[in-house]
Amino acid sequence: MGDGVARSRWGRSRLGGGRWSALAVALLIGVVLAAGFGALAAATGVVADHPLLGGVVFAVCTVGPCAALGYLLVVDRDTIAGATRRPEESVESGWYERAAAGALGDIVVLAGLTLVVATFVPAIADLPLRLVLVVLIGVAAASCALRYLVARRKG
Amino acid sequence: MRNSVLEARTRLGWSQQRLADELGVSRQTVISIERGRFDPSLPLAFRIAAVFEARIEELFFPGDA
Repeated sequence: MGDGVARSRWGRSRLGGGRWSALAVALLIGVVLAAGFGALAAATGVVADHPLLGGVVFAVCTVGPCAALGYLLVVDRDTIAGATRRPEESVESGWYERAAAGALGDIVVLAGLTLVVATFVPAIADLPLRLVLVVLIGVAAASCALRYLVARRKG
Repeated sequence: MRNSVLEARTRLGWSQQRLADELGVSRQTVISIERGRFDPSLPLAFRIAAVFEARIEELFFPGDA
């Protein structure tokens, strides 16, 4: 690659002209976002009996995903060691696209089947929306990951 | 699509990583192309041809691998 760009395992942040580590900036963003979510959870009474404790637990549980989101937003991928210049033309991109398309198909089929079953079984129709959404996201993630691994194994 | 990327690369004495770096793609991409399991995009095929100073039809031809 030899383009003079300093590379590291986690890369540099796009914010600050590359002076800061992307991981440090992402952690900072994660802590701020998670604190915000924690405050929101405490204010809206997600945990009614112990709002403060609930807010802290909520913040602790969301700091990881928030930091991951922050990393995706701020990292300059050209500064990550081993990153290719044209990832969209690499075979891994094709694997991911096929896996994501397959996962979308799985979700449509699952949602359709669930709808049919829920029509005849009222107990399913009464399931909490949050549980349904969590299952939906879990199935989508698992399907995409499994399909990607299968595609990678095939080479 | 069949190809003679492996032959062209070994003729130059390049490693798969060297070719991947020249093309800006992952080493796995080079491996998959050489095994005929991945058909590169047209821009990538043109870059491969340019790297080997060959015409695209000298490296890629129709048919299963």
